[in-house]
Amino acid sequence: MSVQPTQVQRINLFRDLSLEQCQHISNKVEMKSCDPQVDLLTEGELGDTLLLIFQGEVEVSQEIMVKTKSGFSQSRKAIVRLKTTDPTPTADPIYEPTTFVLEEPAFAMGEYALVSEEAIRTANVTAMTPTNYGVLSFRDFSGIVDADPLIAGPVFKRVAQNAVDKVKTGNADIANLTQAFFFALSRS
Amino acid sequence: MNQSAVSTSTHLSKSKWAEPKASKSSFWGRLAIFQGNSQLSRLIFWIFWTCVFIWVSATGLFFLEYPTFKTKVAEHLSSLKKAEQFVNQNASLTESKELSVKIADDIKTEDIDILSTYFYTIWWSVTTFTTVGYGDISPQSIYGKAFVILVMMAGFAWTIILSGSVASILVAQRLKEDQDSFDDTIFTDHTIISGWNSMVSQILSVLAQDQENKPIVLVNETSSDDAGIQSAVSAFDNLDILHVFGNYTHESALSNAFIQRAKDMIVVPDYSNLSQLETPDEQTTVLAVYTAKSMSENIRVIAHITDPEMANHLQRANCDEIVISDAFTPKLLAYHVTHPGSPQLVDTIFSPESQSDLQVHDIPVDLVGETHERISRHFKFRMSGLLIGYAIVRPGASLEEQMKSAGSGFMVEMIKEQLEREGIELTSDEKVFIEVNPKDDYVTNDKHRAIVLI
Repeated sequence: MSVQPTQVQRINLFRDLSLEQCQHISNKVEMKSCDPQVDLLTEGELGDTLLLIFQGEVEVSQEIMVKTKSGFSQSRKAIVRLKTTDPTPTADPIYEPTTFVLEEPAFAMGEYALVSEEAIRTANVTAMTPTNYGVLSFRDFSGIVDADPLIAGPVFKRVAQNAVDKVKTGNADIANLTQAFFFALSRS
Repeated sequence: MNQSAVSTSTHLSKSKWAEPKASKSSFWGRLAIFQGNSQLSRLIFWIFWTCVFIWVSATGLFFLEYPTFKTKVAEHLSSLKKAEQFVNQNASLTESKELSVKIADDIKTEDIDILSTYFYTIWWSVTTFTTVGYGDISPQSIYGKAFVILVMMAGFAWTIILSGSVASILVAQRLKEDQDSFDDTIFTDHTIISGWNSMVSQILSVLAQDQENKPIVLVNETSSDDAGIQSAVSAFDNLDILHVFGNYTHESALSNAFIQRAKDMIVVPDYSNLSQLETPDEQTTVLAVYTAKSMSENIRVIAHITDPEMANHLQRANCDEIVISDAFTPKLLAYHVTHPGSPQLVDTIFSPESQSDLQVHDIPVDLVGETHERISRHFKFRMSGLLIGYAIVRPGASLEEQMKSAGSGFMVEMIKEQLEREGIELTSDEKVFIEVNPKDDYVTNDKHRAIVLI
């Protein structure tokens, strides 16, 4: 199974690349497919590959310690669902989303693997439907960039923008948590 | 409005009708279970054993005194027969001039059947057990008399126990009827007064003047029979007042006061069961506020303390309003010297006998948003009142509103979920702020209520 350059161009990271540049990338992408409930990325693991979701719906989650009736326990908390629109998933998800769903023609996950060979996965990515996805390794991308340095700029710019957005969101989350912490202390 | 004064004890007493230990399948087990906890089953239980007692004593005496009883039965039946014949013969004398009286023969003892004799022993047993004792039949033999001595003594004791048990069943039934007829649904948005002292009656007097006439629950450890409690409960025809006997720092007592549905709670220094030389422990007031706030997030707690040092503790306990005794006394005393007349004004306004009153009124809808000067003229014209300021209810801080504009949606939802799971509301309590004697161009809004001196 191979991926078309047009499919690669739909990925958010590669939207600013030309079809020819996307062709170089598609030549290096290893296509795979999986069934629902398969973990495509696991939080905490070292990763050196970029995941490209071309068809399907995946759920991004994190391990969080929450208090339940029986006490504190580690629980996987869904953060967001990502769903492709071109093409749409071949089946309905195994269970309905409990968080909001982001729809994109296609999307990339684990982009920090393009920057570092030892990036730690910050979340779990689990297939909710039968999913067709591609895998691009750090080494292969480095080779593509070496062959055509003009690819690097647009791609890393997107990666940097995503990183900045996440830092901003992370800072706001820290502020919210701090407020909630003191609010809870004052009410207890 | 009906007046109720039902005292409930928060002390749970074990029922003497404990769970039967015998298995249900044995006779004694079935009998013990039949004893049960319901009034009817207890009554039936006592009736059953009384019948058994009567039957046992009758049967015992039947065997011991059979000849005596048989003879007595024969004599009794003979006399009945003679009397019947005499009546018949006298009736017939009016028809016939012949006077011939025929005397009936006595009924012979051997003609008396066993059942008739046994019935008379039952008759004897019942008359003895009920302490009526006609004396028409009595044992003759020594064995019979000895048996009857035991029966009479046991019957006497049994009668006392039975009377007491029946009385307690009837009292319990009456108490249950009282409890069943007690309508606790009226205690919603009510006021709880925790603690007891001489000021509670005055507090009730002021609350009784409120047009809303909300029910009131008194929680303290003063006995319901106390004259002060009785007087407080019965003095106000327009108030539903319930007295709950118990420690108001305990959740059980506050639960009995329906704290989850209460709107306000006033905690006063508690002089229950204290001598004149003793002073109440105001740490109890702090504990009561903690307990109340933990049981009901929405309740508004007003605490009265004599020790200003307790104010900080009460604030930490999220007490809504704190009234400190003599907080204004130094100023009042000094004002008698520096501003003579103003302390008298305060005294006049807050004196129970005063015609003047400081009231809080809603601002008419058409005047909301108007200036202070305009609203003042309204109250002056409508009720001859002097508008001296405003009570402004400001909503508490909402954590949800603070968070919604920033951060990831997932994190906000998780924070809300975890706090709500712990029973922590995301909005802090409303607070009342006072604006005194504002300028004429001060503009009001819908959060303002007018404080008017009438």
